[in-house]
Amino acid sequence: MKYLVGYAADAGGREALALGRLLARASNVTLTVCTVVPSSWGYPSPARVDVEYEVFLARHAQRILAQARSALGDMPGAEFISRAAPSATEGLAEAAAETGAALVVLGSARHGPLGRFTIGSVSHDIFYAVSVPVALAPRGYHPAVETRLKRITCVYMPTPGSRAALDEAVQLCRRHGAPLRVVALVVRDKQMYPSGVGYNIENMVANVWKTEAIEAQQKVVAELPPDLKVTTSIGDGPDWKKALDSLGWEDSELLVVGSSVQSRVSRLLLGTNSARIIRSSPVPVVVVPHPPGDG
Amino acid sequence: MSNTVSWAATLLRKKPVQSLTTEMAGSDRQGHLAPTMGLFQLTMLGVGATIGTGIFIVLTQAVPKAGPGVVLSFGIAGITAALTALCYAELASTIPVSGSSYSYAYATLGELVAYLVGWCLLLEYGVSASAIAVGWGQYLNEMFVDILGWRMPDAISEPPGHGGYFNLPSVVLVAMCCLLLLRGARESATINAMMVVTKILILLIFIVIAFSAFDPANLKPFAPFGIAGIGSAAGTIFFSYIGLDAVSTAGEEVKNPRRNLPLAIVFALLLVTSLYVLVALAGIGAQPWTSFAGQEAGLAVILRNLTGANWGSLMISIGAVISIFSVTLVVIYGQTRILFAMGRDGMLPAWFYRVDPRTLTPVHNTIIVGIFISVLAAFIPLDILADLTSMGTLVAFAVVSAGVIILRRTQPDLPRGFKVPFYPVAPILSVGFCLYLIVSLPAHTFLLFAVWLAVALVVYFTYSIRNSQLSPQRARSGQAAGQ
Repeated sequence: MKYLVGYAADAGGREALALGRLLARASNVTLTVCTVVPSSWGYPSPARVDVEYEVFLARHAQRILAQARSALGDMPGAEFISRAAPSATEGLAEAAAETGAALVVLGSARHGPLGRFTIGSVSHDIFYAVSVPVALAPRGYHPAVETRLKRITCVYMPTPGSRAALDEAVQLCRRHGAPLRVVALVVRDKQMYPSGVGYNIENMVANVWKTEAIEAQQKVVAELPPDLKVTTSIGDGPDWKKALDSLGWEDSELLVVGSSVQSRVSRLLLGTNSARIIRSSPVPVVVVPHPPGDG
Repeated sequence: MSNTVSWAATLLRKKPVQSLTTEMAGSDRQGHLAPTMGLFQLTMLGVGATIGTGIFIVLTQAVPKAGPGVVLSFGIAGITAALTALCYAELASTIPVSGSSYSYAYATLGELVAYLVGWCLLLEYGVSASAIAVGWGQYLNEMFVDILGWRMPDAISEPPGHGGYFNLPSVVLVAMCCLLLLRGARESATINAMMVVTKILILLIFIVIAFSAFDPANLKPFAPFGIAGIGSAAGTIFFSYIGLDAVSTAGEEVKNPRRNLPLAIVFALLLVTSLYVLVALAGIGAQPWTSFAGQEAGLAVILRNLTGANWGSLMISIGAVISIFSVTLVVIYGQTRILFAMGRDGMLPAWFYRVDPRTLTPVHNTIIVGIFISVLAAFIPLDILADLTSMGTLVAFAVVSAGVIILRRTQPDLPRGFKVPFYPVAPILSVGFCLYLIVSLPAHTFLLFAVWLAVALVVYFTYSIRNSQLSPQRARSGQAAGQ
């Protein structure tokens, strides 16, 4: 099984590499590190300037990959490839399809806070371009080389996308020998002002949701294989970040979350919880796409 | 005999305050927050919640009933609102959590009364949202006239009964509000403060400009339909005082409630009533009272006729469009949460309190409310909506006021955070005023209200009485859900 790491010669690339190394520390997983360079003009030009540019790009890619090789250290079976494409997303998607990668690893955009992942242009589009899970390394992520995953947490809200995420989390647990934690998040919405219905009515909504979420959790945990070590927990807070923080985290933990495939319109109108979770998670996140037409 | 007793016990069963506290517990489980609202914030809350519900549209309905005497109608409606708000505040302070008059009635007066209060609140919130949404469409149209010189065709923009068939703008407004609520968009205390300022500014602009054309001759005859006309208009106008209960329900958030609650209610009411009376006086001084009938987006049109220019009416229209939007959002929100609470108690089917895992909001509930409000707004004439709203609100408030008296007799030792001053005069007057205003509403409103209550009772005796969380069969599952 291959994991594809999207590498660029910056801190985000190194963080992606570190996460890839951690995730590949499981039986029969090898890494493919891919860097994407701009594609040059495909036609001969006067004075053949495009060829010069191509040569430059190829050298540049080799330099970057050499950097990646030394950053990764000793990793049996690791491959390093470069790819020319009009955009980094396209290049990575093609590489993922060609190598048959089971997972794509990306680093964070640079404009966000340390310790969290910030969606950038590549990570924004990659979910539309690939159909495999995408792992996202938060900004400033650099685990020690010998680090192993201590626990894998999966957000299970009873939506269609959550089931696929849970299955993926179970597989990751098996591969890494880590225990599973199934969590649901209760986000206490802001209260409307003024209101003739009192000023903590929103807690009633949140508490009903909590009851529903706990029921769904118990039901789905009962269906999991009995040999797996499973715990459950509820994250509860006034916003997504505080709700996630309230769960408590191991120093090397992974969060798995499903992303339901929504139309662009409903994405725009309703936003997605997975995007909010990605932005707020204190640990790396694996986003599992929900296969279209499945439930 | 024992059968009768058990029936009575069923209809009067009360929800334990403890379960209310559990339902509304916050994430920290440490109980409630420290009180944050002082007198000023509380007053602004009351003003913000009240202004905007009706004043932009109510003159068109009320002036033809009372003539210039409508000024007195505002006074009567205002006094009634103040008395009921005080009674409401006592009932609210008896239950140490915040909620709606439905929740308070459930904990103190028993299930059937609470259930019926809930259905009255449907009129207060749901139907008033329709009425306000219709008014929004009118001001939107005036705004188009001022900016583009174009108005929407009557068939899709006029309220039914005034040349329209389907009121499109109101449906659009309700849909937008529901979408925002599904997203979890909320108006904060800050936005509320901004809206209060906007609304007061618009009304002040109107008052200043309209008074510049004040003609005392328009005030004669003062009361063409006598006292009855003034009373009848007061019933309709009561609708524009809805929202004052936002102060009463602030409950535990209020610092020193014994002093601040009644003062805030009185101050908010004085502010609101003075503004309303000035608006009414300015409007009546500016044009003969007979011109009000059927005049849409009244305030904007009056200004345009007065000044012969667009800027005045444009400012009013834009202000009205913004503030009515915010009011509709708040009212629809209140409606969904009341239904949520009723669903939670088993009074209504479970889909009223299912929370969608994707939006974490009660989606079905919001959609049902949205459809209900849009259909009413699209097809029912405005005056019927306004009167029905007043009816529901007045009945709910009369019950609350009577409840204060009942509770003082049945449970005199219950700790009360706030007590109505001048007991028992104030609650008795409150009930009296409510009844007076109810009686002066038009006959067809009674008919509609009777049908409404009949439907409510049928639902209660066929569904709610068995599915109530307090019914013996459900008691066990209710306990499980509360933990």
